[in-house]
Amino acid sequence: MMDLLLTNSEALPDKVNSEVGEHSEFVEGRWKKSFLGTGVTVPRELPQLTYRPHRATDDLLEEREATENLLKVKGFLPPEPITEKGIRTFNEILYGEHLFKLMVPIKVEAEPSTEGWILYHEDLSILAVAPTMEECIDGFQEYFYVLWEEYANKKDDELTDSGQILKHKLLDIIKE
Amino acid sequence: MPTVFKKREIKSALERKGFVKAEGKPHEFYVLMVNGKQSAIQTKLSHGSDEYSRKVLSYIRKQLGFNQI
Repeated sequence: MMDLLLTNSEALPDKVNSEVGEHSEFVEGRWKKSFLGTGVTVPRELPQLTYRPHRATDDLLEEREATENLLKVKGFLPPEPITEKGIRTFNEILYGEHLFKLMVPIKVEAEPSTEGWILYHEDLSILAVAPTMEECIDGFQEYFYVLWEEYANKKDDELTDSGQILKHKLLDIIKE
Repeated sequence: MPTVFKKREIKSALERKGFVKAEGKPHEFYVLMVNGKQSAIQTKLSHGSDEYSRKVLSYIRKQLGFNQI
């Protein structure tokens, strides 16, 4: 590509000097002809231009970087979509207006089936089946709420030993 | 052995084994009662399905601690 050499105002044709005026100054250096065009003057005091990506771009880049870092973690499973047997983690349970914050996350087996999806937690004995993962997650949270309603609020003498154990597991896992 | 199982057959089997459906609740929650007390052995049947696959039935069996329903 052809370069245009600019030295100083005296080196330029009179026509150019008369166009830019007596207060104009020129910068020495090599400039791409396609960028400046022929006979274009460049003021010494260029505006201070700094490249700063738009905030939304920053967020996207950070999110992408964070996702890439997470994927490098051994054993990390992205939340959606799961196409084969895996683990789904619940940090809290939300059913209707009821929000249960958990002391420790609940890790649940997720498995595809002809019905769609199965979520199963052996210790709490929760089984949810639904056509989509989203519905299955809702079903799991509904089941948790039903257990809380059916066991956590019962008096111990209404429950067998195993019932009392389940009741206290539920009470122990719920933070608030 | 069939590949799908009707929900009504599962409900019927649960009731024969001493499971009781929670009264006055919108959900189909079945719990095993022992000497009038509620045990931890329970299952909630999905509203959406009238039939369950063999795989889901195996999970229900696992949940209830049964070899078969």
